[in-house]
Amino acid sequence: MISQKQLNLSLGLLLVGAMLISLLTGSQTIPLYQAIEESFTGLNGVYGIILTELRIPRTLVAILAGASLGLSGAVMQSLLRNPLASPGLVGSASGAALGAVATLYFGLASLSSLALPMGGIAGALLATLTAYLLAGRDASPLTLILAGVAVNAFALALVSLLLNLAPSPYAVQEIALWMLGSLANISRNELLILLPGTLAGWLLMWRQGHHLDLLTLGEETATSMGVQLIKLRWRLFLAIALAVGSAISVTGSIGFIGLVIPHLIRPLVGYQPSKLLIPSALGGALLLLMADIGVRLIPLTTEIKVGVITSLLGAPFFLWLILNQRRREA
Amino acid sequence: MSHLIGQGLCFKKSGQTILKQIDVHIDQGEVLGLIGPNGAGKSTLLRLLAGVAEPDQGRLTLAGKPVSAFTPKQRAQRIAYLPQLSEIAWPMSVERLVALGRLPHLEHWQQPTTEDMVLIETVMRQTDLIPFRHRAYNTLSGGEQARVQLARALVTEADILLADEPVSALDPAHQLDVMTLLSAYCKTGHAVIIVLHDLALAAHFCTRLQLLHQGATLAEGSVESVLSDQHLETAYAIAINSSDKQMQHPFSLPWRRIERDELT
Amino acid sequence: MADCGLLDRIVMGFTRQTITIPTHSPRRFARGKVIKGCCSTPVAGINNAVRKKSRYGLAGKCLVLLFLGLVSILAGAAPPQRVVSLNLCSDQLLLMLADPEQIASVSHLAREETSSFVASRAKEYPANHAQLEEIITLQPDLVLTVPYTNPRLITALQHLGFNLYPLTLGNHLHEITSEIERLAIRLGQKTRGKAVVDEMLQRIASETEHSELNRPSALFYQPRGYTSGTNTLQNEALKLAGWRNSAAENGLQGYGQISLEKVILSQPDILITSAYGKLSNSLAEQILSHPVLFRLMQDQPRLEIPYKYWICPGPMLAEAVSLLREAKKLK
Repeated sequence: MISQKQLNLSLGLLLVGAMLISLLTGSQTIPLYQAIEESFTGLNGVYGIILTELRIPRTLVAILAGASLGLSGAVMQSLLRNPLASPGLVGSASGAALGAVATLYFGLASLSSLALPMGGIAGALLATLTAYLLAGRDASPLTLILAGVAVNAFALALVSLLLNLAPSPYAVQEIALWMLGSLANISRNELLILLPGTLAGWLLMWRQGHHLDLLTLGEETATSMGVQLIKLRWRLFLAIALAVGSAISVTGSIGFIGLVIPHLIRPLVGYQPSKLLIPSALGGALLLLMADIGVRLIPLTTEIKVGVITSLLGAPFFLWLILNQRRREA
Repeated sequence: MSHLIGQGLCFKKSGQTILKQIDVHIDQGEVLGLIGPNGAGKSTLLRLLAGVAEPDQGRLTLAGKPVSAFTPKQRAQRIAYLPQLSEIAWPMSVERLVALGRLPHLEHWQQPTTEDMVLIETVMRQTDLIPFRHRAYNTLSGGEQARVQLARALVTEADILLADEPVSALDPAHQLDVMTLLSAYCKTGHAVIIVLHDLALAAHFCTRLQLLHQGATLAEGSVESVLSDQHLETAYAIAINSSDKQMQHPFSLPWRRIERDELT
Repeated sequence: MADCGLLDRIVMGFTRQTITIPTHSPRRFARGKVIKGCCSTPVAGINNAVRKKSRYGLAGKCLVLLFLGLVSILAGAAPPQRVVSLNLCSDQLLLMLADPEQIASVSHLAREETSSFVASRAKEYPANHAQLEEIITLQPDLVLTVPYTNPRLITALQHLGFNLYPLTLGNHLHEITSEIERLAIRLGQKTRGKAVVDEMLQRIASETEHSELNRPSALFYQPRGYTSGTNTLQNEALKLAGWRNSAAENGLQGYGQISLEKVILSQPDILITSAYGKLSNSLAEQILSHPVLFRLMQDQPRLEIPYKYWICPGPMLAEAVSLLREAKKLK
């Protein structure tokens, strides 16, 4: 059993390693040392440009988005006391995609640089609330999953519809980008518009660790121990919408990270919710970054979507869950 | 002066009146037993005192100040609540669960200090949880789980402990242990309000009793005065067999805990 | 010719083709009805003669067919009078080369301003949507197709005996000019065809630079990162106008995607976009305004050439070359 500190440190180191690999990976090989040199001297050397305008933004967005997804998954699972909850399961992800699509394809994004992430945030918030209200306050896991399925299906249908109605001839084919997610051609702009919502979301989630721990004891006990339940729920739903909504408005909806990472890490932190938060963020960032590196290493002319790789990981994960469950029941 | 006072507490749920103008008070060193039939409102009263539910009418005073003058965290430091049924969300180890009881005293970034750890250790020993300290909660029996919950409540070192049937699931030995523990807890400057069904235990360990019947206080005061045959018959609709009457089958009353090595 | 029966048109079409015994179903000849005096073409008489002569057996028939074929060739087939074009590329060339009376219909695509050079003129003719019933109703004596016309449509038209002219869409100058001439001859407009080609070559010749030295490099950059490599109209125009094509140098053949990193490393001297209509909002189009491109090209304006220049081969290539030549002079 490794300690919290050791876990965070190892994940952190792995993340730094992955960052370096990410900076070295791309459709072209570039000499990293020269690229760094060029970026600092301010000359317009092509290696420096590739590094600072393409690879660094892409790496940072992968880290921020992955961390948001992992962290939000951990928060969601702890808040709902359900190991199957995730931003994707209760609809936040598809809601965010819907909000982003509505904003981008109909010209609203050009009104302000923050319009796109705000659309994603609004969509995520709306979807989560709908799923939660549908399922009811004391919903069993089954009810919550069903409500999430309904919200996801509806949001996805609306995304398709909007893309068909969009004025651009390219819109319809872009549904794959929104449903599977992609980090291709991320620029400085995407990084900047992602930051405010992400940081605001993380800030709201900060200092809530103890409350999530107390929820382990049950809602009534937690209330008697100082947790204000309604306030906590609203705060955390808003936080998740901010972080996940911003991320998805830029990368599209990337699945499984919010579900798999907290699930895998929870036993390593003794099932304690407060200790799950930081490792989940680091783990999510690491997973997304590695999936993106994988996407860039696969030699196809059209980059495959990063969500394909996370789904390829997610499906066996569910299989393992089922087998585990069967073994436990047997 | 009483530490916790409830005056004129009323509570309605789904149109039904659960509590009618209940007065209750508890002071340092007291073990107040709340007895009465099912549905009398005992658990609800405890929930009102714990802050889990809001009374429709009435006042709550804690240490001379209205309860609303305290922040939820301050209140949690002074009142510990142990509900009857509690669903623990994650298969945490016993030690970790018990440690959660210290959270009301910690800042959001703090980890339990050495003093906290010592206290946790002591309580776990008192509740006979040391052999299970690393076991996952969901692998324990009902009685063991009840002891873990109690340990968690004790660890908070709150002035007042509100316990809703903490011994119902326990075997006689452990029942005696817990009640002895609670008595000792009160002697160190704390107070306990405990909901009980076992009248013998109530008689043995409580310093005061309050009998609830249909949402109102039927009797309140010393053990002898409350446990009169007349009160009990009215409240429970049962005939009481006091010890000096004739009996048709053996009567065993658990009395004292003995250590295993005393037997040999 | 409108009152001629289908049979006659089929027979007439047949006699204009090369001298091969048809493998079509012999039902046609078995239809039997004698159609007198409906057709005004010289072949009509032979037509009736064929039917009369059928009593003389198979050998006799073959002899007559051979004779008809020779007459056809020697007499010189008359130019088509009802040409139907099914596609934008054939529409444009048809409208440029044929007499107005020869044109029976052009495709609806020819009317669109954003893609057609002959939009206003095309509106004077009935529009078709390359549907079989439409084409039959129009009663064409020649149908212009392109390689990507629906193959089933082509087969159906062939079975019904229509004359088809498959237009070749070349990407090189000599292919384009020879195809213009070939089509012109087929339409009976040899002189006009030659004139169009001469004008085109003259214009290009005055602009063309043959020197391979000191050529600046250009890169087409389209939504979704598409670019044009070798064997494209864009490549040909660049070559003729004195540019190097970065995409071709990177080994791309035809159309394909190029990664941003490759674009940066290629360091083209100019980026060219050919937007189809107005730029709208989509991720595909956003890539054109990626900050890295601005960083690479500094403040150099991007060259915009309307997309319609690249849809079809034809004289418009010369105009595209002029535009590219102009841009080169600014370098």
